[in-house]
Amino acid sequence: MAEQELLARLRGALKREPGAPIPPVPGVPAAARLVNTDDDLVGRFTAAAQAVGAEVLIVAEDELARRVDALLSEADAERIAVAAETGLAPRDDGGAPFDLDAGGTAVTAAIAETGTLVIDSGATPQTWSLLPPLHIAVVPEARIVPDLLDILPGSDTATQPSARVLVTGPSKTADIEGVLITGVHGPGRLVIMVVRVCAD
Amino acid sequence: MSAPDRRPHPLFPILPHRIVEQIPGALADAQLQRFVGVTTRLKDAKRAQVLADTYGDDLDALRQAAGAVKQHTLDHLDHYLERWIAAAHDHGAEVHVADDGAAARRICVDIAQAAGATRCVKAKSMVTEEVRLNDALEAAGIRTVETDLGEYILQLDGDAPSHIVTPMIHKDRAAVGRAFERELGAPYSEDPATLTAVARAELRTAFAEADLGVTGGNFLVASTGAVVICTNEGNGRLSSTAPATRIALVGIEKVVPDMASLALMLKLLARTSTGQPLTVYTSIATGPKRTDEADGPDSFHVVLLDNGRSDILADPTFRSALRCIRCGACLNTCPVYRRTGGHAYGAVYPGPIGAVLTPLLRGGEAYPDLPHASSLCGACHRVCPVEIDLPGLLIAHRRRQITARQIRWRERLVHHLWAWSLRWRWAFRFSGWLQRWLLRRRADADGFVERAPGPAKAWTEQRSLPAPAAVPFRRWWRRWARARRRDDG
Repeated sequence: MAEQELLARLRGALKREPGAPIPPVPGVPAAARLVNTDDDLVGRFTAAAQAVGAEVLIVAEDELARRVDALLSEADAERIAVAAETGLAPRDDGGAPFDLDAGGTAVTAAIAETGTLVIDSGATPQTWSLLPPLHIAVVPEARIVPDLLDILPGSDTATQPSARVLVTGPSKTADIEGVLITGVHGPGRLVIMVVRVCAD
Repeated sequence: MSAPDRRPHPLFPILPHRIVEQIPGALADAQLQRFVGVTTRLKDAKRAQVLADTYGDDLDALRQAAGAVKQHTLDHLDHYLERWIAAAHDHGAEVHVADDGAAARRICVDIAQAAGATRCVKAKSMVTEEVRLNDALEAAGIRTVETDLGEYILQLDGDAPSHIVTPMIHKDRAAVGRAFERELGAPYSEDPATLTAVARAELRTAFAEADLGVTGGNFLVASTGAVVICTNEGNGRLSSTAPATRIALVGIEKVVPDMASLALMLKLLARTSTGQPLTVYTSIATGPKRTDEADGPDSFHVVLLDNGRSDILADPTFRSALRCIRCGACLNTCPVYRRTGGHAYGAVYPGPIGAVLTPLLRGGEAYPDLPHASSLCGACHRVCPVEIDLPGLLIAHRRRQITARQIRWRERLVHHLWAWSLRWRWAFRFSGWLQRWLLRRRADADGFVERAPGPAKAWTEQRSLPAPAAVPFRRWWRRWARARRRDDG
């Protein structure tokens, strides 16, 4: 079988016996961690997300729906999809996902270090956060974790979605003469609504 | 699609290929000098600033750690690849092994034909360039569209990538405008935003109609069977999600042991490559769409590519070259690459890493002067996030050439003369005297020799050679020391 031949060839190349013990994986230095749990997670997340071109709005739970409606109408969005997990009224205007003007999705988590959204495949189509020119992401404050190290190592588990994407800012390119253009294939506008449970 | 002219493919030239023959053309190309020179410097400066701001004095420790993780994985690649394959199978991925480029092409075409696919969208992938996959798919009647903006433009214009991260670093907006006008019938424009909008519209149609998506892979995570791709435009995600069949072609050296190791690589990769904290989309895929998921490919194939990598693995001297995570930082910092651009290397992988890998992947005799296209300044080693000692590997290549007697008799003669002159004191003094005699009479008023004698004149075609001093240092020192003793005593 081709896989066994490849493994045998590699063992020959490395002069290793099948099943030979291996030393532990070299660890990740502590210096790799950039944000800790006692840091201002909302503040760090907001700054990092804005630095990569996302818009961040911090809203109270009870004003989320109103703010999203305002955003959608100001963007003149007609064909809209909104995932039920966001806590908003679910909406799916049907038709081809390629024709959506706006997509509203929830996130599994958000990462303060890099301003990143963690979006998993599931009941909500992945295309809702990818195809429309405007992506609205609803992020409950409690889902913001400090660092990339708080997301990835925990996912060495059997149950995981078939696709997880870490989204850091709107789609962009600088292929033509280094000129930065947003909204190439993915959304050109990413609006992140950070939802605080009690607005102090 | 029209082909502009019947030139050989820049990345697959007639062999042996000599970079030295490409250099005069590259240096005379004002646009190349301007574009590549400016962009590489900007990216290099951005990298330095972002890494210093982010990690400060801890950067070197992180680079060492990343290098150690990669080396550990390579040293035990059979173990980790076996784990990866088992985990990938558990998640419903179909795994194939391609020993070489021809096998990779055949396997991908077979998968496509078995799925009845005729329209393919591709995300940018250097391994697919390496095995020339597009040609094979097209020949099998599968229309293949590059979806990365830079690669799309290059494909449309019959051009080839010249940088592993920013593929059309050498191309100007007017050329893009002309290509779009010619191939798409779009009204001529030089505005990057307008051009991007044109490409976006064309490619959305391609995505909507595609039944096959082909990507590469930045990482394979052994503990979960995941394939990770790092992109910025969204085409990677779209190529992986919309079509019914997905193929990821990935080199076997891309394995990392677990998710913690992946996190370490990601913390360095984009910051080193472009100064971003992460690329816009880091896609981690394990298998096809699950039954309770709304979308995703129905079948997910991963083709593991060897194509010479197991031979490099077997060579303890060069094994570390496989650590490469394709960040492109060594290209951006290299004084040679900045002047020659990527096409001069005549290979899929240019720059310092290309100079090391290409002779290994395609044969040292096919690319005899690549290991010499370097002043060994060490800038590439300094920036490499996985601590590959590129200058050391270039020297190893040179040493191999000497051992294999692949250098010309003139060079061997100079080596012998040099070794002889260092072996005995009288020979050393004689050689010093000879140099003084030959060169001092040719020096100009400023003490420089503009035209060295005999075969050495090639040396002074591009540089001025400082003439040796009138008195050798040892004699000067003796006189100086004597004078000092007189003054003190």
